[in-house]
Amino acid sequence: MKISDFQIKLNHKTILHLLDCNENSPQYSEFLEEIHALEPEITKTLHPEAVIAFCEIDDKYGTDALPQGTPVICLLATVGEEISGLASEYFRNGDCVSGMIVDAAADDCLFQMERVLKEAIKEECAVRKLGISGRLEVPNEIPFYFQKMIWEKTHAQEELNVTINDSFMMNPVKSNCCIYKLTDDITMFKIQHDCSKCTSTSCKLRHMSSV
Amino acid sequence: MAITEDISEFLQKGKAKNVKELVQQALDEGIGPKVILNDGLLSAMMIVGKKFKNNEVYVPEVLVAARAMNAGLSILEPKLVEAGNESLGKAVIGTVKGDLHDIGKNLVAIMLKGAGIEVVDIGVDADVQKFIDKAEESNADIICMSALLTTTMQNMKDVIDELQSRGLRDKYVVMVGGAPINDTFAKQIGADFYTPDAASAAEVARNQLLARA
Repeated sequence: MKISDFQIKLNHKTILHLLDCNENSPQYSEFLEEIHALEPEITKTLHPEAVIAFCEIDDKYGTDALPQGTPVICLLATVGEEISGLASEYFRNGDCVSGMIVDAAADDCLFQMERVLKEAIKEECAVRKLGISGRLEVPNEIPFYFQKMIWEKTHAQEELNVTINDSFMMNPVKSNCCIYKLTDDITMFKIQHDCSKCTSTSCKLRHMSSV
Repeated sequence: MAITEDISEFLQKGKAKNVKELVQQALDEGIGPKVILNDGLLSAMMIVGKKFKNNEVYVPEVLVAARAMNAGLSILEPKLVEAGNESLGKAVIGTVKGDLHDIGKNLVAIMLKGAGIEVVDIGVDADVQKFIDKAEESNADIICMSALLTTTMQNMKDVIDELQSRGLRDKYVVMVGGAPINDTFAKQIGADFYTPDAASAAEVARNQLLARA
């Protein structure tokens, strides 16, 4: 199931937070102005799209914790390639401020997409009378090679024009994926990323809610 | 106050427009481009780098300062070329094979420039040959490698192993960085330095080049 209707509006607060720019920073107003100035260009180059696929863990990807046949949802989301090109262009021209703002805006967009995706998954689970017992992400809960399985299951090449290389790196770079473990318990809906279990302690989005 | 001091002040505040104007004014007044570079731009970037290291300023201040430096350099560079200015040294920088992330690498490249180092940016997904060929071709002093994934960071070792097998290892200072990298890993693969951020990378690179001079 492909989802393209995200209607993202940049969250200036999140972007500034990602850039370590708080209200006490001497650069706060300048950065805010820059974000405003860049917003039309950024919005034009963001192409948020995602695919969710109800499926089972394949034989070749099965692990002890996630054996073959486990029912899951595979999710792959991307904001497209154009936004990264825009950030690189600013860097090439020596404007690292705009480059960093554009990069942070892409992360903010991916972060915001979660809210829409959460609702879509909730609806689909309700239709199928299924719940979610947990969210599994690379590299903490599942190994990197699971990105290949998610990419295959979501048909990301055809649906989203996302490619993956031998190092399991997706292109566009600003793409995210994860697995939701399904359960018959319809009262269970553990869809949120659990920051407390995440080893990315330096993540700027740690403990920031996407909803 | 000397105009180079004004340039330095404005650069530290990230005032790109003022820096650009003052660099032009300094050139018009007959001040040598090397003096403007060293006393105005580079000294200011070093101050910003030190303040960042001491947590006196943060990423936004470094970014605006780096942008201001680039604005000044855009005016100064043609004059530096005319004057036959030699940089402190040369660094080849890239993201290793299989990895397409470039933001960290771009930041380091800008900070290296701010430390007076000539940068040869070989982009992302750069294989062993590209790193070594570019380093040899450009007569570089430093090779900087970036990786953001645990699946790609191993490719840094391939570059170092190839340098070793070609008898070139001692010719270059090898620096590594990126989210999954740490000091232990750097030592394991035989790199000379791991630096956790762009400002420290520039500082280490500059110190190494000064020590070599």
